[in-house]
Amino acid sequence: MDADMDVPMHDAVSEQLTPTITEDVTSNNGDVSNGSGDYQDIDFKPGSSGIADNKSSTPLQLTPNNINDLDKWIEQLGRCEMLSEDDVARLCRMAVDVVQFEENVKPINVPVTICGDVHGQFHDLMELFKIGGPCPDTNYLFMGDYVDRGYYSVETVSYLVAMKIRYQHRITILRGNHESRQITQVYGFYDECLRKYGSANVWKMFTDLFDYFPITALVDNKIFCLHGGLSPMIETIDQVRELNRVQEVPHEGPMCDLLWSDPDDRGGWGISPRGAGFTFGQDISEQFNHTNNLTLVARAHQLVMEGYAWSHQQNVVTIFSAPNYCYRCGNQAAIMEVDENNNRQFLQYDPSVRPGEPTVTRKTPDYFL
Amino acid sequence: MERIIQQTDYDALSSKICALQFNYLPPNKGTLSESIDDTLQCLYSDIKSLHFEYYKTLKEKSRNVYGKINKLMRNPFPVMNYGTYLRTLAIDVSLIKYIENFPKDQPFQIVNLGSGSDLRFIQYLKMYGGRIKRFVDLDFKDAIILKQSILKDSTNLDQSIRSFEGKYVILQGDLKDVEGTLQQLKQYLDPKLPTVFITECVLCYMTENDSKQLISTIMDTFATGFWISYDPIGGADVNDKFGTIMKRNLMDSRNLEMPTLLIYNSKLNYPQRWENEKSQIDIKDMWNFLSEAISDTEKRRLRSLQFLDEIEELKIMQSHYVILNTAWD
Repeated sequence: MDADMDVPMHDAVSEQLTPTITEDVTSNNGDVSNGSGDYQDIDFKPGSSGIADNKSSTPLQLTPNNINDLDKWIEQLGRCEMLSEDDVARLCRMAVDVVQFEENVKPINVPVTICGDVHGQFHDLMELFKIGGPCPDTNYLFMGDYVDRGYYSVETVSYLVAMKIRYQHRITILRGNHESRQITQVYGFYDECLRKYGSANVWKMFTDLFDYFPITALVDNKIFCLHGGLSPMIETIDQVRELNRVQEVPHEGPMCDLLWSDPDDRGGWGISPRGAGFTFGQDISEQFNHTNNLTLVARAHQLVMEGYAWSHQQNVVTIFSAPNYCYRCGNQAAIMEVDENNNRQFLQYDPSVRPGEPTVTRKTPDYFL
Repeated sequence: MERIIQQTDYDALSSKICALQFNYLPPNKGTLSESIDDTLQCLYSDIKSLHFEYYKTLKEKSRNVYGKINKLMRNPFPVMNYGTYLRTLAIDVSLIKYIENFPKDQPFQIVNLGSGSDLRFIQYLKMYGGRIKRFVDLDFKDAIILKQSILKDSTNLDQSIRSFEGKYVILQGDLKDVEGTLQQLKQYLDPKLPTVFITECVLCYMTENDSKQLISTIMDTFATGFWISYDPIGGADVNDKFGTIMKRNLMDSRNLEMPTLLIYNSKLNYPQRWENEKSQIDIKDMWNFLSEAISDTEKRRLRSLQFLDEIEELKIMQSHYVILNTAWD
């Protein structure tokens, strides 16, 4: 038995279902077309999970039964134990009937605690709630990127979605660029679903649900919150309200930019090194905040070593809530508390210790060896 | 310990196959602004078929090793493919530059210490066969036995090696045993000829003393030489936790030791082992290499291969790996 290898939970299953790049290598005599083509077979069609087939025309009203189930799920997920596939299906159906009614620009009152990327680092999310205070006592706004990279995307996103349904007015979950079919196939959530559930069904349910997530929030009419950044096609917040957001994150256009763009030291608009979205300079942020009568743009999306970073002379703040990102970057994480008087305070934290975590599920973080 | 270190070769091979599979490698024409761009193209002309052939034969020779490598290839994150691309290119650019500086009639030798399954010997002997006097691969016994059997079993690879007419030598050895290693090398190499030594993620697994010994003995034995070394560095800044975390992660998950990661932890400290009155040292981290050596057109091509979402992560990782070039005369 080699202690050095990643031992997936259901190895035999993943053996059959994981797209096997190597088969191509060995069968094609070496001439392999673009690697990303390996995923073309996957049934990729938005809506194919069926979780949104019977959408309600009114927001979900919680019944004692629902509450009972949700509390049970939250408790189970709180131990980092994933839900059954059937329960995920029920969870996602309920969630659609909550988030579909939220606006593209979700209005939020103070006090609220604003959080950045989590990326499947479940134990660090639990740490976040310890630092920030338990939900629903503390109101939370998460700015996307719940899945990919970390080893517990399934548990993380299930937990946050369950909390969202249970405490609809206490927690807001926006969409990040990783809440997308395409990105999750590159960065791990798809593979994790296959490994943990033995099929892509759960991945289809969650990615179908992601299409309904709101894309921005407005805290007390003063802080505009979103995952990525500004778009050259968006001058006013009203223009965000007009977007049709229920779709896979497009490769370009305003919705793509809101989830992909980054602030930059250079002025004006620039080409993003990420291949989607834009970079925007201080002139752009100042103009946007002025036009929309804002004090701040709060966003996530970028790893910052202290967990938060100001840019553009405090017109923009970046918040990143995954400590020691990918279990190897050594960064701190942070969340931003905004109190009832609109005072802001950053709370920084380090990775949680993960006692008792079985070593079989622990994988070596990637290094060049 | 030997087995644990030797298995890092599976990581290296799987990473390389992934980078080839996803078309990071080979680099496109115009990758380097320098005049050696054409040479680089030529060097990489059949890198894909070469590696896929090796990998295919490996499947027949050892299902066990093949299975391990196959498993490592499951999640080829863009940051990893980028890093493999940079590592591969940085070593070849260093090597080509050194070779191209010689007069065309100058014979030379290349030694890949801890070569693992690296197939550079085929690429270089094909391109510079007339001038290379010897190409030596040296690694632990188990690694060499497997590699030899693969090379022999593949008709294509075996044919290539035959065409090299004995210039390629593959040796079993342990770099910790400096005397023994030197004895072996001297049997096949002429210490008066210019000789290139490559250590690609090798010194980082050795103790401070062993690696110092190895380097100084080789530099004393070979009159004219060039050393190309690629390794991680732990970081020297007090707030930089990369090395501490890396050391702990590798120890916890696979019992792999990195004895000097926090000693030779910066671009300033890493070259210490080569410093003497005869040596000229150049060291870059891989983020420098990406920013300075790779053309904008090539960077655009790389970006188009996979969505590289995390520039900051790429920067953190690549600024903790270095390429060192030392010439001595």
